[in-house]
This record gives sequence, structure tokens and C-alpha cells, in this order.
Amino acid sequence: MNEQDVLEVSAGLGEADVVRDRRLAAAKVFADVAWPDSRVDEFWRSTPFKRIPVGGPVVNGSEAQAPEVSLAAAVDAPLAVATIVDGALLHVDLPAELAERGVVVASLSDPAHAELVAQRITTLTSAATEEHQGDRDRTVVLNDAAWTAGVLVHVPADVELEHPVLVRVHVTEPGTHLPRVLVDLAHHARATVVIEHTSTDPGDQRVLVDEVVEVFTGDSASCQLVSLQDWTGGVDHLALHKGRVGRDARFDPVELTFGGRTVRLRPEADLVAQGGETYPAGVYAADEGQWFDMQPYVRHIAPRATSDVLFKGSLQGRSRTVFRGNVLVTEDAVGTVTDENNRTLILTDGARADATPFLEIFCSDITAGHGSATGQIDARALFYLEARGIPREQAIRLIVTGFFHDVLDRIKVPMVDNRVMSKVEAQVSNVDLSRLGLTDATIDEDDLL
Amino acid sequence: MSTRVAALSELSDRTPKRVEVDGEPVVLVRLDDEVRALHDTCSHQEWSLAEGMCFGREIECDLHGATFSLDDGSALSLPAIKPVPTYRVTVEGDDVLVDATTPTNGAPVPDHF
Repeated sequence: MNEQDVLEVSAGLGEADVVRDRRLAAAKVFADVAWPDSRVDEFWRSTPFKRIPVGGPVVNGSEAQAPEVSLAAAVDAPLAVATIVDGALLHVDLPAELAERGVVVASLSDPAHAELVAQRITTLTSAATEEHQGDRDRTVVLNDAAWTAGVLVHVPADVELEHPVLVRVHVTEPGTHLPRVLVDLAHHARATVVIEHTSTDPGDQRVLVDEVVEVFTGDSASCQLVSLQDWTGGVDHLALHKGRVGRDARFDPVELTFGGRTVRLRPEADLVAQGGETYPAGVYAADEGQWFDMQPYVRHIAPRATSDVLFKGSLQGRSRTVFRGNVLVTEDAVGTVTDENNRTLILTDGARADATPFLEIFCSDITAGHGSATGQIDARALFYLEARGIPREQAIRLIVTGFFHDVLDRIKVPMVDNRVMSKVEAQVSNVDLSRLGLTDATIDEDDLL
Repeated sequence: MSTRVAALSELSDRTPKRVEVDGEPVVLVRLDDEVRALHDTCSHQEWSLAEGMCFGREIECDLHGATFSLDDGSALSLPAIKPVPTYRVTVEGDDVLVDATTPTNGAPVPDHF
């Protein structure tokens, strides 16, 4: 990828010069940095970079269409839907009622919105700003420079959206896909944006989806960003889902991961003004051969902000999951309240879950908690259910859905509820009962005395 | 199937060296006229053992101080509790050959790095 490629992509999309210039700035960074090295780069130590098929051709459109059924079917109302297939933004549907209220759902390359886009894009990633040095992860910088399909969602001040905005990302071709989303909420606006990732099985060919989403919440605005990873087998997915949280505003990234080969997600929130809130949440279910790496990062930059990270996953077969969370509390962030937790349930022998819920604290006047627990199904809970005549498979289903209950309760997006439950159920019905791992914490008789 | 990976003369005594054998990272350690080969991945948190140091017949991981036997790959101190794979080494003249197809101690090969 060089400057020439970037100019071609930009010209092909008919972009304004100001937006093209942001790409060129990123292309310069791209030339200066190397691909991550898992032996050196602390944030890449958890996933071997060699699993990521970088360097494939950038996919920029194909003949394929998105599947007919999407999450939109779950809502009985006209929805704003943007559809990206194989690196091209195919169409955007915006109900007239939303357009009248000033809501924008459009191509990120549309010259009509160039001023807003140029002001915002890459300021949370590779561009150095007053707030940060700029992200130097080359996988992010690649998207900054060469994204081929972008969606802009803008909600004007005081407008609250009743239904989610749906962005569909569908993949059929091998190569590198570079989708991008920019969400901008003016003050007191409220919206949920759902990104639905689907694919048709690429077989043995390598597919990499390298995605960046930037979310800007104005003062007292509230944005929930839900990303559903419903990939078929061979897709590798890297994503940065990052929000900048204004005064008394709220940004909740939600990661729902069920498909894909290697999936490494970075839901991040910068709490840059007083009273900001973020509640990153995740649900994942990994099966044979899958490797999920969850890297939530919360930066408490301003005083009296609140954050609570909760990720829960279940594993079976030879799968691996990594939780590598981080909460940074800067020296100015007095009155911070934060908590960070990861829970994983290992259903069958051979799976492995790693957890490192980091805290980096430079301020003493705060409340902070962090924790992780990894375990198997409690033999006594299973015995209790089976003793009451509930068959083993159904008992496991009760235990697993119960395990996910609190995090699902927090998400509360009716559009994705059914899909998530069916994915959890699918994993449970796949459990190899002969390899079920149980924690047998039988009470020692001595303890009873 | 053994592959030539290094020259004996380029290995300093008890100084680990990382090499790749058929895609597997392997750490070589010279003990006088012999050479030992272990999978270059700590069984605790997957750090490269070649970053660490050797003491006697042990190699110490640089990250958390776990030690492993250079003779059989077994974990000799916490926080590691599982062995790392060891490989057969042949020295022919100045050539060091490693067979990385099957671990000689039966330890599971890490599925990463």
C-alpha cells in the first residue's frame, strides 16, 4: 500500500480534498511503521501476529449481494440501514422521518459532509492530537489510509433515535477488507448503532477484515455501539471500536463474538470530560480452532468519570480466548470510579482462557476494582439439576444461559437478543458431553466439623 | 529429519540462541561440547525463552523467572508447571542439526508463535 493506491481509492470514491488529505497523512505514518511483532509489542503478545493474513489484495467491490435476512427483520419499523459488501458501500436506506429530523446516514466519502468528516476522521486513531500521540498500530493505520467503504452516522443535537441504525458488513471475497464507520452525536443526542458482520464461507482462502469505528459523543449524548461477529469459519477480524466521551456523555461498546478464526477486538473509550461514563461489555463463545482476543481499554483522562468493563465467554474444543483489558487513570482523574471484570466458562477439556485485567493508576483519590475468574461447570450445580430429573444437556443449557444472564441483561438491544441467544444455544448443543469438564469442589468432611 | 540450524563455533557457552526449524521457534543452548534444543516458548505465558539466561543445566524465562531443565524440558520452578518440548540435536563437525518433528520428551507443542 503506497500513496498512489490511496489516491486511487480516494478518487474512485469521489472524495473531497480535505478527506483525501487525512488519508495521505495516514499513508505517511503507514510508511514509517512496521507490522506488529508479537515478541516485542506488549499489546500483540496475546495473539501471534503470524495468525493475521496481512498483505493480501484490498477488496474493493464485487458482484456479490448481502443476504436477504438481516437483524433488521427483528424490528417491525422502517430502519436506517447501510450495507457494505466486499469493501463497497452498496446502498444506504434512510427513512424520510429520520432525514426530516436532521439525522444523517450516508457514505463517508459524500462531499456534502466532507467538512464534518475531515474534522473528525482519524483523530481517535493515527492522527496526533492534543489528547494523544496517535495510534501506531499498522493494522489501524492501514484502514486510516486505505478504507474502501465508509459509513457516516450523524445525529443532531437533542435528537433521540428510537431504533438502532444498522450497518451491515458482508464478506465473500478473499483478501483484505477495510470497512470504516464514523458516528457523530451532537449534544444530548442518543443512538444505538449495530454493526452486523456476516460472510459466506471463503473455504481455504484467507480473509482479513480490518475495521475501524470512531464514535464521538457530544456533551450529555449517549451512544451504544453493538458489534456482532457472526462470521463463518475462515474469517480473521481485527477491529478498533473507539469512542471519545464528552461531558456527562456515555459510550457503551458491546462486542458479541461467535464466529471467525482469529478475532482481535479493541473496544476503547477515552473519557476526556467530567462525568463521562462507559460500560464496555462482551459476550463470546469459542469453539474448535477459534482464537478470540478481547482488548477493552478505558482511559480516565478527566475527573469524576465512571467505567465498568464486563466480558464473559464460554469455550469448548481446542479454542483459545484472551482477555487483555486495561483501565488507565491519569493523575488528573480524581473521583474516578471503575471496575473491570472477565469471567470465562470452559465447557470441555482442551480449551484455554487467559485473562489479564490491567489497571494503570496515577491518581490516589479513586475507586477501582478488577478481577477475573476462569472455571468449569460446577459439578454440584449439575448434580442438583440432574437430581431433579433435568437431562444433562438441558441442565448445561440452563447453567450456560444463566452464566451469561447478567451481561446480556446489561446490553438490552432487542434487535440482537434473539440472535445472541440462538448462538449461545448453538454452542451448548455442540458440547461434546463425553469431554465435559467439571469443577468438583466436593466439600471436605473436615470442613463441616 | 534433521535440519542444520547453526554452526557450533557461533554458539557461545550457555548463551541461548533462537532459531527457526520448519516454522517452529527453537532455542539452542551450548553446554560445553553438547547442544540442547527446546521449543522457544515458555509454558507459562509464552514468552521467548531465548530472551532469558542459563544457569547450570537450566534456562530461566526472562518474564517471570520460571526455570526449565535443559536435559528434559521439565518445569523446575514456578510460575511454570508444564514442561516445554525438547528436540534431538546432532553435532556433525561444526554443524548443529535439529530434528523438530517430534519432541523427545513428549511435551505438547504450543499452538502459537
